[in-house]
Amino acid sequence: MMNKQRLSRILNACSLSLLKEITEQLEQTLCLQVERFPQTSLVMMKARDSVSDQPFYVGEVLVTECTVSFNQKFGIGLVVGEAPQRAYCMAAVDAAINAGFPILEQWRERLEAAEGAIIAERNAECARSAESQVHFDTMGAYNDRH
Amino acid sequence: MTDTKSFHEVHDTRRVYRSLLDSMARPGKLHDLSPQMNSIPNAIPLFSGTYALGRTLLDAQTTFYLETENNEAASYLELRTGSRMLAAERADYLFIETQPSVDLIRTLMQQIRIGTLLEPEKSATLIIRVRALSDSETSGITMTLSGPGIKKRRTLSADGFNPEWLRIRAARNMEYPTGCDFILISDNGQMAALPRTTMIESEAV
Amino acid sequence: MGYVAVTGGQQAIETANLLNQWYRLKDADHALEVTAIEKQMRHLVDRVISESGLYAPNDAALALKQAEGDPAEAAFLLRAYRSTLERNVESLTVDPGQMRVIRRISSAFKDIPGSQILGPTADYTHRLLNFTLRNEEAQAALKSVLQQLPKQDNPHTDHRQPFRKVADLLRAQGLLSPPNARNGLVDITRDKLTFPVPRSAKLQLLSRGDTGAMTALACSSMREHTAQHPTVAELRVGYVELTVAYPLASNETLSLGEVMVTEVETINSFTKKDNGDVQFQLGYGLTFGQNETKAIAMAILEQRLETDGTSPTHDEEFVLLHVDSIEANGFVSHLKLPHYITFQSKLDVLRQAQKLAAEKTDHQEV
Repeated sequence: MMNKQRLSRILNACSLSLLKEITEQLEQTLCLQVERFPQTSLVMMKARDSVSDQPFYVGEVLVTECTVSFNQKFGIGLVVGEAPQRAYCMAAVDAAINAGFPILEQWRERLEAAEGAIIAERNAECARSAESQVHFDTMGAYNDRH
Repeated sequence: MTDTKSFHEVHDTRRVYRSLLDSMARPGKLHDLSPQMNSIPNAIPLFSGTYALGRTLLDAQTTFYLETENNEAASYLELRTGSRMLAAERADYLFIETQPSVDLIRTLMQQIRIGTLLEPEKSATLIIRVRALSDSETSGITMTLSGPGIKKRRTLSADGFNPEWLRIRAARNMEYPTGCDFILISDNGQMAALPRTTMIESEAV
Repeated sequence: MGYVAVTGGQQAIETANLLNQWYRLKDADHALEVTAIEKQMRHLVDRVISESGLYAPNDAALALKQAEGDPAEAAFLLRAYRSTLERNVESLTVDPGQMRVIRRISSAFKDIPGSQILGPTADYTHRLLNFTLRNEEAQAALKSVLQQLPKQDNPHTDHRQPFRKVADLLRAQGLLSPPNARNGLVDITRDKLTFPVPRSAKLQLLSRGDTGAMTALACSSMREHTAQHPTVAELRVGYVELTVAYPLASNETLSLGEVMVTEVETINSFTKKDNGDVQFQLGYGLTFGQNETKAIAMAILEQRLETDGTSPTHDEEFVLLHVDSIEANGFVSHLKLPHYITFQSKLDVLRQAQKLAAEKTDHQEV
């Protein structure tokens, strides 16, 4: 199921060209209206302190947010960092989905491919780090072997 | 939000904000918000003064209370600003669009936050709609103002402004720095502020 | 002595600002690229985002360029910038236990589940100055590093499976004592600090505290309590996902992207409970970016503040009012501003005292 969490996880990290392609198609067929132009703003990050198991505020994260509407249906784009184009495209896609436009069906394959690429890239980074895993030998075993 | 296209969320709110700062610094001085208010379409369920000041002052970090006759007004303001409507005693900004009864004025003025001696900034601001404001003609009630930001004295007349507001304001603002600040805004876009430091004399009170 | 306001500095100030620009550029062959600072001065950028309390690596790099590398000035610039921005949402609670880890060590146990992963660190180097960096060509150097890195055994392993926390293992065995912390979620960017400080505010303040100040205080605390040398149960560096509630419908969430953080849990001391049980007390550190020393210092100081004692690091006011980079730097550097009147009054007092002393001596001699 492609819920908003999964979709936004793809769209905040996929190539901008894919997002633009989707958005251009939307712009050709739908009359999108920018309600709030992309602007940088803050999201306060809350985290769980594992000692007390209570939340606290770590600090603020700079994000870009944008609101677009189509047929009175609003859509929101929110992404970490200064990324006005990405925020606009994400808002456009969100508005189209909220207005019942079958965007997920039309782009399912491309979106799933992008998702796979993002996961693969992140896995590769972690796998590279995992190569620095320590394989402990106790000194006794070391001496026995050599 | 096609109906708000001409009111610019950055430029117009900045202009309103500059006017607000100056009217707080110079109590009773009139500021003309009609250019901004006229750019707001008539179709909205709010008084254009509420809209202009609301867009300027409210965001997700602030709260408001709205006294209105329109059922859609509060949710409209919430959606446009990200702010939330709360009970009068918890709100940061209280917008009064109607002409409330003396009883309601008394209730609201008892509920409004005036801060504490340690945290006077936890007080609230009242934004009251009046029919007309003037510094030359005398219509409605005439107030003689003095205090910080006023050289000697300044006169302000407000039409459609219930003197009960002033009576209770004097009592609530007795212990400086606690107290609440008033912003008056007229139907045609004249705005004047009466911060807590301003002494008001009026025959009506 | 009258109270005299002086003017006349405006032209001098404008020229001084220009001179500052001139000194920044006069010997430069080319201007520093902000992206280069962001990508190649990682730890400096991480320090600035953490001390400003604003996760904005690119803006931090820009601030560092503007501040000519002064981290305190850069953090000040970022904190000033954040005060101009709207804040419409707060995140859902991030659980650093779900972190996508790139580095994870424990000095308490060698065999931690998921094992020790050293990751990117200079901890195990000889600190020899590498002169070859003087003439480094980025692409060639990167290629060489990639060739030397081991071939990945299994690059397709799914690293979304989180590592289990060491502290959770100890907790499961009943070895951990929860702190008697004052609860309540406070935001120190919105509400002023009131003593005694709720735990959430303490953590927030330390999380954006000054690396140097916190390291010095943590070091002093360790030297004072030599018998209670803290142990790093776990230090992890990696990415956490920033998620918010979808503003237009209550049942959905949005992922905004990843944020790099460092998280530390230290085992600081034993505590005896009322029922006679003896348990470990943990300290907690979490900062933006890869800031390992600061995160460890945070865990040590946080735990000190939760326990009673006579040393300065047990004193909330002493620690919390002095570890903020912007506040401490501002207070010390404000001494450069004119204090002509206050100093004149000091001179007056001194002269008056000398005069009185002289009169007294004269009197005695007569």
